[in-house]
Amino acid sequence: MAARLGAGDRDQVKKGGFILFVGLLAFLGLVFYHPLFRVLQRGLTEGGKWSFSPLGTILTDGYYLHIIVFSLKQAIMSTLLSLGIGLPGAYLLTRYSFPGKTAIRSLTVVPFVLPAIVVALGFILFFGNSGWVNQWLMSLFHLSSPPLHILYSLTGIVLAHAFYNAPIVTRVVNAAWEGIDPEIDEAASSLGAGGIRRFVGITLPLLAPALLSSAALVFIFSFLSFPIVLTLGGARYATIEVGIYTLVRTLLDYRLGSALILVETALSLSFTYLYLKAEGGFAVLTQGSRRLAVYPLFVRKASIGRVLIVVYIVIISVFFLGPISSVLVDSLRVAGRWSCESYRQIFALSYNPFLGVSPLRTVLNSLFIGGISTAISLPVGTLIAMFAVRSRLPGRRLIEAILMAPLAVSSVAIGFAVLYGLGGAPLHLSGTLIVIALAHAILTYPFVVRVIRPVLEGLDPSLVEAARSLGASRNRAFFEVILPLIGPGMLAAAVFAFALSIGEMTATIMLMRPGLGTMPVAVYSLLSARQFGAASAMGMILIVVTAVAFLAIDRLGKRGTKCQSL
Amino acid sequence: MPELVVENLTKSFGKVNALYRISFTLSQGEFLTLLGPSGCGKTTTLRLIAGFDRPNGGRITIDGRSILNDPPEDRQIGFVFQNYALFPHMNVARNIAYGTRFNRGIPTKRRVRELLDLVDLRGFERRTPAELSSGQQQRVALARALAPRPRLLLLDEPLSALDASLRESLRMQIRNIQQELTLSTVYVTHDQAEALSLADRIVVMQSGVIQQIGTPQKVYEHPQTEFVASFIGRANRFSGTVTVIKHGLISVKVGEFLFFVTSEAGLPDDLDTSQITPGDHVSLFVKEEHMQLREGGQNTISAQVASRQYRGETSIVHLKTQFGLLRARVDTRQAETISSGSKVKLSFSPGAGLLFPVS
Repeated sequence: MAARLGAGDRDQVKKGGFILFVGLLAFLGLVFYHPLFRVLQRGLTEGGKWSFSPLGTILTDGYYLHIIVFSLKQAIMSTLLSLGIGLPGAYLLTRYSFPGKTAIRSLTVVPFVLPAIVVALGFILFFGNSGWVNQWLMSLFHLSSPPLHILYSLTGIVLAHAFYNAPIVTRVVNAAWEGIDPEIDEAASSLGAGGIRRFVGITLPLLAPALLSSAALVFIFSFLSFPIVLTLGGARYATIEVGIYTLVRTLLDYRLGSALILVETALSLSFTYLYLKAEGGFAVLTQGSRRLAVYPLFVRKASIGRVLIVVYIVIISVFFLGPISSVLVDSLRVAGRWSCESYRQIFALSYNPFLGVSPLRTVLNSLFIGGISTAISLPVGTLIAMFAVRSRLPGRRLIEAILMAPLAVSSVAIGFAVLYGLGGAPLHLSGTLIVIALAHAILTYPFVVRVIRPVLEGLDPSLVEAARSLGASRNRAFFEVILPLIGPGMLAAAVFAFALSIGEMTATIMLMRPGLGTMPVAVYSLLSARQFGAASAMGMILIVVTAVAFLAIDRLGKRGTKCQSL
Repeated sequence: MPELVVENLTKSFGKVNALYRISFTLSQGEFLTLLGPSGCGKTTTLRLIAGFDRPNGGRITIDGRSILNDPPEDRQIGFVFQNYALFPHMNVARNIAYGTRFNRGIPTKRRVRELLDLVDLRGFERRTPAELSSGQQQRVALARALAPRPRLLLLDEPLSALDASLRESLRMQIRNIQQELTLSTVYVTHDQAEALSLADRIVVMQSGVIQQIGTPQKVYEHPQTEFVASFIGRANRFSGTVTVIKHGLISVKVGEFLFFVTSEAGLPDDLDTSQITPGDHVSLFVKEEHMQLREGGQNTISAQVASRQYRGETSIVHLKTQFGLLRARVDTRQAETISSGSKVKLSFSPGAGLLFPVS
């Protein structure tokens, strides 16, 4: 009867799940936890003994203190600006209806998938000293020198971070706002509360978790931002991330690099804790059965409010579309003429002196790394999502938090950890594409979890039971019922992970050797060499990959998935 | 002739006993309901029969053969879920057809047509579950469970998500289909009206234990435990002590008052007068419809009308008495003749009292 164990196969499933889970932990231990632990340990040792001296050096050195303070300062400013730009957008999307609203709501996910180096490129082309804005202003007012100097300054960094993060604020707050049961507001008005009192006393407190969590998220992203600071910060402005990169890759000072990672990780872990706490407050909001009333935006009668809204929309459109369109236009213009020359350069097989390799090679490298890392992060993320949804273990919340740790560790730190932990004996992975792919897998699997988890949560466990009571075996029930229902979500997660990997530059640059460059690294190199045409062409390819990924996520996401907390 | 026998079935989750030594039988074509408050173990029982969970002890046999080692797909037991669990990615026809594919000898297309006719959903083949009303979803769930010709049909609160009028009509439809197919059926519900109107026999459960098994009439009129008496119907409850047992009458002292109850109707089946002695503590139950608003022999007390609740043909009268607030269900025509605050006499016949010893 062994083959027909049947009713007891819950135990078998449990056993199988347990073995898979132990394998998962072993894998993550090997490629992430142990290497990270060794790096942190390195920051606390001196001459083979435990010591606070590397940490002491960092915390007493004026330069590193300045870096730490600057990281926090620019992150706070970026957060405030992102809220300032993002909140009106959330209000607009929640309370008004206008043509293209659904599309715009979907588009708010784009900056998240857009490679940061492309944003930096767009900013240089659009806001730079010889960028579009300055050229327009010069020809408009007949000036002889560019009037705006916003790049290579704190302003440039903060603006670019807002470009990147304001849509996140819009997305998260809009989702929470629409989740508020309008009857709560109606109850307040029936009790005599006026419009402003209702907003301050009812709406705002209900939105607080969303506001806090989106602000915390933006803060963490800005705090750990690397490509934007590296490109737009110039020589004078460095954050902790850039400081670690310089210490490890240029000065080869692993001792201080590790100590700085220790400081950074301690800070980012505390911010992440705050974020998770804020996010936990969401649960209450999603009870409304009826939707909030919306008003048409464009009506005959203009009011000051509506005029302000239109002004906001115009400014926002220029702010978001300007940098991206300038990448497109510059990729198609060579020496003042329309031309495809830049794209020909990109797909050339010949050696490019600025890249140290042929441009096509970097495209192939990116595709290879993207493929391998997705093949790893998809099963890893799926397993963790299954654990998070199905497990009844005591302490599972803590285990889950530890499994999502890569979210709270910077990409530079992960890159360094992988380099330090897997580069040497016994694996000698240093200088291979595999090691970059592993780093990307670690960076992207938490996002796979975030996409797949709600899909699994929405899956009714009685569906399998229904299939089996109708005569389907466990395997058939899985392939005919479960897989078709979670398949689109898994595909969306895979595309998402692939897009993140394709756009990833930070960990890549930490692990890179000549010849291993990827597309974002190529954009960076071409940008540094002021080869704007070729950089733009390469950037356009990244934008197209991102757009395809976005469309896939959006389409597949509509079938049951919700990616609102991306 | 499929006959389901459940013997000493026990199931615990961790340290909690969800079921303790449950036993009952279901004969061919019989309609059995498991009735009880939520958490009483009725759904657990159903899931054990279906094979979704494994018991910690006991036996389940069909026609004398144990099914405990069969996986759910080999048991040929249809299951209708509380939330229907329709496959959202399949249309109505494919949902219904799903189980027929595993059963050679069932012509899928014809069977789907038959079932669509049976549940009155012709023309809905191509709809997806999301495009159906909840009542239609319920009928698809029923059709899907019936399609592979199960030996046994299990329904887990199948009507609880529907509104009252729909519930009533679907209740009749389920009962008619069950009779037409003479299908052995176990139906779980917490709604006593549903259980009383549907079942051939009712299994009343509480805290994982069976309280009583019997026909609806038996369970309603002759509850065998205090729990059943208070769970089914509405009754007034008095606590008292037995004083005299004589001539087929038992007198019970409640406070300073003496009530008389016939021992034949008033005692549970497993008790006779020889097992009752003066001084025993008992609970006395009198159903609200057995309370009368007039003088009536020895069990007559004075009361003052507190309020009336109109219920159509009958009305509920709340009465202040020396035993606290009591309820009586009387003809509305009679209830209309009395006003709030008026003094009345309240009585019940000795045959209407139900006694349960209190340990």
